[in-house]
Amino acid sequence: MRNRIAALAICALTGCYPVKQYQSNMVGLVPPAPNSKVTGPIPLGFVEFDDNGQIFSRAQLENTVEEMKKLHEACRDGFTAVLFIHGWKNNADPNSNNVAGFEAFLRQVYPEVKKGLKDDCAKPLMGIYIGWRGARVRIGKNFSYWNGSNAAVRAGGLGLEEALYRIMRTARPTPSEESNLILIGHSFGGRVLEKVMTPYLENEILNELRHSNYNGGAMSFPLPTLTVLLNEAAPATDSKQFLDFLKNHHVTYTADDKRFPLFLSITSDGDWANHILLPVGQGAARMQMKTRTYCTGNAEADRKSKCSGDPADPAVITSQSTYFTHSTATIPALYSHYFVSSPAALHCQENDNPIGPSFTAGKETYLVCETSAAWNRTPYWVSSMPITIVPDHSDIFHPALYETLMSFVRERLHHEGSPPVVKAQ
Amino acid sequence: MPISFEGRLARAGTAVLALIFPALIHAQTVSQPAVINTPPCNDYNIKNDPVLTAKQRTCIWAGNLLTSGSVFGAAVSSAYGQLTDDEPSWGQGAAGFAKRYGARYAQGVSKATGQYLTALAFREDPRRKPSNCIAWKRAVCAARSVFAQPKESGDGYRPVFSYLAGAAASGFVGIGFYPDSGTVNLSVRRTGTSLASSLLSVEIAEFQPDLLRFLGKRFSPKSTAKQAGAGSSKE
Repeated sequence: MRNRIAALAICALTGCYPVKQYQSNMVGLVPPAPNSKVTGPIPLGFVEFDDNGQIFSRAQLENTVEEMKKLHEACRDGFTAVLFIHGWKNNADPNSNNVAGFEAFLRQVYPEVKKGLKDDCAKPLMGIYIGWRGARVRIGKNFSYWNGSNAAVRAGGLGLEEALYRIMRTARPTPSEESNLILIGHSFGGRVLEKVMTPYLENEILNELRHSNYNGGAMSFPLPTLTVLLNEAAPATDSKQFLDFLKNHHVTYTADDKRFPLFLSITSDGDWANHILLPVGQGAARMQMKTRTYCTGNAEADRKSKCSGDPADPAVITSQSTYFTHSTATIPALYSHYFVSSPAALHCQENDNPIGPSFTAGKETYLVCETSAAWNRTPYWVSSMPITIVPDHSDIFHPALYETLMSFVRERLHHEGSPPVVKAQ
Repeated sequence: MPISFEGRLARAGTAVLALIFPALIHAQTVSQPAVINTPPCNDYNIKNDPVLTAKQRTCIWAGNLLTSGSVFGAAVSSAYGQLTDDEPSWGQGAAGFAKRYGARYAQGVSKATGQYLTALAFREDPRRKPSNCIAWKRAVCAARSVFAQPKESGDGYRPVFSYLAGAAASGFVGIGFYPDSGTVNLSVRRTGTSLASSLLSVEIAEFQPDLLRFLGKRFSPKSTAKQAGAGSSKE
């Protein structure tokens, strides 16, 4: 009883956000912005989950899937869906800045999607906003880090897994489909997305591998065009296990020997929340559990450190706490790609290759290069991102970000020949 | 006069229609996709809309009244005032602190209100934008933003009065409640201090991202992708 009274008192003082569904069950329309190139309203569906990861209303999911089905049938290959999972301090409330930001982002995406499409494809773009209880208190928001992080893990549960699976199947019924589905998880939303997508992919790959007819060829299961973990606020212990899985099973995502990303984890160089706040928050969280020291192969050093198990891989990270107290895209040892920008010379370092042509985002021109000698050569791409594209942790909805994400998608869409496929051993 | 069966049927039909019709209309309305409009005071809209409405300006002002800076800033300043016994008439102890805290907080509210009303009257943009200057000139450009801001046409600068008005409001409001230092001379001094704090806050805002980036690099592991790859041959 005392605990309840204390919790109520804290809630009253800090202004707790209620656990409620914020949006209607119907798919809404994002109106065109004044003076914008957008010619028609863009359908936007909300699918909301409560603090335990349970869907608020199945009608939201059913209506979203139904609307997407109709739009996909009308536009087929010309259809694009963008799904966004918001992060910390946000929810599906119209007052949440991520709701307004995602609407603006859809308006930026629209002209590119609409380009060259026939008139019978009137609504080629649809947005899906996944809401969860990322906003918890109105005052002292930064102190809700641990609650928010735990809520993100709960949000990435079976309910969302079903929703994402159905959305994937509807937007891209077959892997060879040229319609697009881009999944974006921001901040803790990246953790939510990763919690759902990595077990899904691992299960699908293992199922195919177990199949007696599998001979190392193309695997066939629903896949999004691109999964983006943007300024993801999650300990790298989550991704490290998936990276190990991808490496150990030699998983590739290629078309004609050209590599494509299944995941793209990018964090802005100006993302102080991930560079400073996350290590501090995770450092405090580490007091509740133990991390281990990896063996190095040096008998003397290993005896002293009392390590056990497999040797460190990559060898430069000898403590598990490095993964626990940092996000994936703030650990340079896990990077697979890097950006170069003008006015510096636009070419990759020696032995490295660009993943595609240069692109202009904002005032700068960029080239994304693949580090040929990186430890991470998996389809889980990791990179930092210049502040000229995304200046900090939260200020993400810029045309420059859209251009950057599209540079990854365009490369794939304009790839001549067969579409990329997943293979493993 | 008895009503015929047809008449009864017609009346019943009319009654049923009268009941169903509004429901049908309602169903039609509900099944139409609703336009999703985010409120003008949504933080994203306030930050990105090219021109602010009066309502958005009011939201910024209201948001400035209760920030962690205003609450804790007043507390720190009051504690310092208590320590130096700046208002002897208020004495020490909790009562003295409460009076000082109230006075400091009222000064903060006056500053925000003065700034808001002046910006509204002169159509100044209350949003701070990072300067376009480079290197050390950024400090000068940030300071300039307290006194001048780019014209909407992008052609030159126009004077800014809101910071000065806010500082003056903060300085002179004390005449009403400071028993010992409510003089004009000291009000002018408080105005100067308030303006200096505005200058300091724009400088902090200008260089904060650089400082955080610098600190962020200190927190990140140092090994590079190539160093990590050198010890691994697994694909």
